[in-house]
Amino acid sequence: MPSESPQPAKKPRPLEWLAGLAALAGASLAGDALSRATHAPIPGTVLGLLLLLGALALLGGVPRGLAAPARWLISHMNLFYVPAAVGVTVYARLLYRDVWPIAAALLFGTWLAMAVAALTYRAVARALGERAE
Amino acid sequence: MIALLWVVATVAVYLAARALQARLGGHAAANTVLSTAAALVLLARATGTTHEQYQSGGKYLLWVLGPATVALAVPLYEALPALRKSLLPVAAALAAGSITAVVSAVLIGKLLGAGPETLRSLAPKSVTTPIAMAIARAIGGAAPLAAVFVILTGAVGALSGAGLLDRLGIRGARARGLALGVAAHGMGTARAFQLGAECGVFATLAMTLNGIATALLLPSLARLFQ
Repeated sequence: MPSESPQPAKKPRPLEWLAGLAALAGASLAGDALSRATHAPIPGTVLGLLLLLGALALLGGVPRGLAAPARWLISHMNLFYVPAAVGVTVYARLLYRDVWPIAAALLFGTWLAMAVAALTYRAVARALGERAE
Repeated sequence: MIALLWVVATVAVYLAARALQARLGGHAAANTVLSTAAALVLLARATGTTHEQYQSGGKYLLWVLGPATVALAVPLYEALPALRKSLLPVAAALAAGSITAVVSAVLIGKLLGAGPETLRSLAPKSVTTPIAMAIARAIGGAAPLAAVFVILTGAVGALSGAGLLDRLGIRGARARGLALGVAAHGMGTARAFQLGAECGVFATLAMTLNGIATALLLPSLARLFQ
């Protein structure tokens, strides 16, 4: 597959694209297998993500055949969890019962997390004499 | 046959929702997941399709979620050089933001009387959807509930985050990006890129590292409380 081209094209060839997609699927399956084999309560996809990150660090860069399918999958990530969102209809009764605690937790919890993260960054950056602005 | 039909229907409705969202200027309230899911639920009702029949096709799309989650390693790897610029403040902000996100959601829910399954699904609400679904499953929550909570969290962060940070007097692009990414995952990160490139890169770092850290720690911590 690797053939010498005078200048590297920006777009990967179809075969490179497929190889990148296969690498992503392989890393995902490897993560699942690792999670099952070690009985770790860590989701397999997260282990797969870490395996791929390690591989990229060893390679010292992102192969062009991997970057394109990765970006494509991420940009359409929303499509892949539509079935999960459809599945929420099964929990209609629970949502109805807990609607106010859920609304409060989502609203105030999110504001609180943002405020704490931003204020912590600023405080630590200032204490270290780094630019915080 | 019915399974394949629903895969096609899901993709078609999703593409229509994307086109609609683009027409509305990419507004976070016009989230493609929620509008697509709502349209599909109505379509299933109208055609007398049971939830099991729909999911016989839906499960194929969920399979792709694994490789798509693994793909997050690519933008994370590309954002890592930014981490070297201010490692300690980033690490501190991530730890504080990540813990606050989990603890505040569970505590507020508990104080207001939410049930255990709701609380376990609320815990990973600030984590990016695919990882949050896996975490919810690992700690005894429900993945569909987690997905919807995560998306609503993202809408809160994307719609009101910049205003909140203005009011707190946080002007730095790094602090703003970290806050949006750690609390409001991909939707906060998309908003951060609208605010500037550096803001977006720090949001990417915050989103992905928060997802990894929560996935590594929350399942073990949840075990302690059982």
